[in-house]
Amino acid sequence: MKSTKTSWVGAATLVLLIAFTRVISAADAPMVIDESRQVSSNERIELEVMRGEVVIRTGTDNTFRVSGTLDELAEGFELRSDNGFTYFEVEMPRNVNNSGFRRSEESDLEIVVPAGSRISFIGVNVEVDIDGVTGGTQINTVNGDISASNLTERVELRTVNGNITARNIGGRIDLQTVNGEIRDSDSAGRAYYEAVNGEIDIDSAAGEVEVTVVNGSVRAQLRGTSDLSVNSVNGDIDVVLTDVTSPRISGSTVSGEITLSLPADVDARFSLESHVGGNLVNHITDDEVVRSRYGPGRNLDFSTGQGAGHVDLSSVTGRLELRTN
Amino acid sequence: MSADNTSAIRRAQEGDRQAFHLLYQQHIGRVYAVCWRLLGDRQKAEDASQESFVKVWQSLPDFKGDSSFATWLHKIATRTAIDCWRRDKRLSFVEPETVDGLTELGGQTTAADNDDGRDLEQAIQRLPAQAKAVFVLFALEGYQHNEIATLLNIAEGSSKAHYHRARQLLRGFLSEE
Amino acid sequence: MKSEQELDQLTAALPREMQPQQDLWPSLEARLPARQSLKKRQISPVNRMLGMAAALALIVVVGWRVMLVPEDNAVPVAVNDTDMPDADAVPIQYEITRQFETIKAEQLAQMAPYSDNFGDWQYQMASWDQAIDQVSGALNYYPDDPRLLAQMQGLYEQQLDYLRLIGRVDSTAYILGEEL
Repeated sequence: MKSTKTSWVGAATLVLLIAFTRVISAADAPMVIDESRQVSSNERIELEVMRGEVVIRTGTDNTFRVSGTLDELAEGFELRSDNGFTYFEVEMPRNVNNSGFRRSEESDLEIVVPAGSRISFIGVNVEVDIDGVTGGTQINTVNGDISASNLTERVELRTVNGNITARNIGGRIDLQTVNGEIRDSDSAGRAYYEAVNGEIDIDSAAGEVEVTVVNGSVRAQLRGTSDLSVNSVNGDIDVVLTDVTSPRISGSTVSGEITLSLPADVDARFSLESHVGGNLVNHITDDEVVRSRYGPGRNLDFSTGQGAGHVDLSSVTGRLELRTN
Repeated sequence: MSADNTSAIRRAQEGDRQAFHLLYQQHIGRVYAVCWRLLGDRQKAEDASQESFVKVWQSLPDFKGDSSFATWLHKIATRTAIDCWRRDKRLSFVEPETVDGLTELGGQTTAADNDDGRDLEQAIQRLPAQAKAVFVLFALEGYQHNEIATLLNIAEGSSKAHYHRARQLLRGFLSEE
Repeated sequence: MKSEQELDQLTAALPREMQPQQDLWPSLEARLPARQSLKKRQISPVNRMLGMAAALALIVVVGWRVMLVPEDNAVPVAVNDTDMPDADAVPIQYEITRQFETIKAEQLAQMAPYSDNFGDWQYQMASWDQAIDQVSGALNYYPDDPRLLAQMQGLYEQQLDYLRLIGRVDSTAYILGEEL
């Protein structure tokens, strides 16, 4: 009697163990995905991948294709496509514990789209690499780097914690990070950059540029930028501007330094102001700084050439410096 | 001594630079230590130390006297050092282990007064960036993992993992010939 | 392999202080900005009856004066210090401060002290607060200076944008189709 009972328990346990192991191995195998749809050449595409790595590339035919492996915790995916609009999402459970005990496999996807499509991407802990999309791009992530190249039209790349690296972007550009760096090279069009904590390094031919930084420095090499606005709270801004004689520049800082390097034949009215004693340094002309009579402020006003452009810089305590290239 | 300190703090809050000089002298040792250990380079540590004190000077009006001044000042210095460290980390593509100047400990004569101490300082500088930061903050500066998570903007679990790894690596380095 | 205890001993023996090789005080002192005795920001007691809409409406009214930053006019506004401000008029800077601090307080009341995604956001806020203080100090010398007022407004707006971003990002573990 006793032995039968034991063996029943034993058998039951064994069955349970086998069942359990089956469940584990099923969960262990990540879901492979390889889906394509025929779409239009200027398809509007919306993508949602909560975590992982996503590479977006362009193809020569009018196909939308997503391939790779889905997040281990994913419940599936949704892909619908018709009438010029395609939507793809990796379906995740409502509560995902990101700092989980064991590191589960995240999505690893490659998405190929028609070059003329317009992409909108949203994710949380995800790295995105996108190239060649000409219809417009919008990427929003929380944690993760964004790498973008050869994009045109409206390009908006935003992350909270992450670096943005952009190359050869043309159109209306908007790059923003809270904690991270922005590196942009060979861009054209109109560009806006913002970093709260982090550095911005720009080498651009954009005609209009606006840069805002709170804590962090800005280094900008600008070719032919006729309208420039730079703003910092504590960070230092260093701009070298070439190939434009009468730029329209405005800059303001609280305690950071602004150093502006301009072509030797610059033709503009200059107005520099520091409110609480920041030094004003002029290497362009011999005009001198005037101290305010009733307070700690300093001003520097002068004109070169016909005074066609204008350069307005102001600081509270930061140093403002003008030089020639 | 603490009575003098309170008056120095108050005078510094009102803009008295001599009083601030006093506070600087009292605290530069600890500030420089954390800066140097995090940044591994004499020049950077000096810059970071100065930046810390400028921030302290600017923040003095906000010090309400409800906590220890030393703790308050040190928190500012640590955050400043971490900001410098973060900037530094991003700019350098070379891992600390391969920097030559390390044999001279980044130009700094270590305050450690024996071989073991010097070995440990060197070993700490060989740690990978994140692990080093966590180790310095936990084992030397006395922060808890949840505080380190906030300071470095990482998960608490990551902080613990980095610390564990740092200890393993250090034990290994110290056992090398 | 050194043991855990040996590592602990060595660590405990490391000096907690290190002296820099040169005296940093001279160059440090040169960097210390002059400290003005800042007037305490007059934050009127938050009037709970004042709805957010009303506060915003007031900013719009006050705002048009502030936003008149001369864009094409490169000549800075000359401050005529012989004109004493009308004793009854509230300086614009205090209006700006009051409006924004009200909204900020409401936003802050909804926030947890620590954010998974943003880390030590209060430290970030403090850095803006410091900047606002500096601009405020400058305004004591040059009240109604349009550039300074615009700067102060800009800093407050940055702060609020940051707080709102934290609110949006942290409020859900997973954002469903909403723009961040």
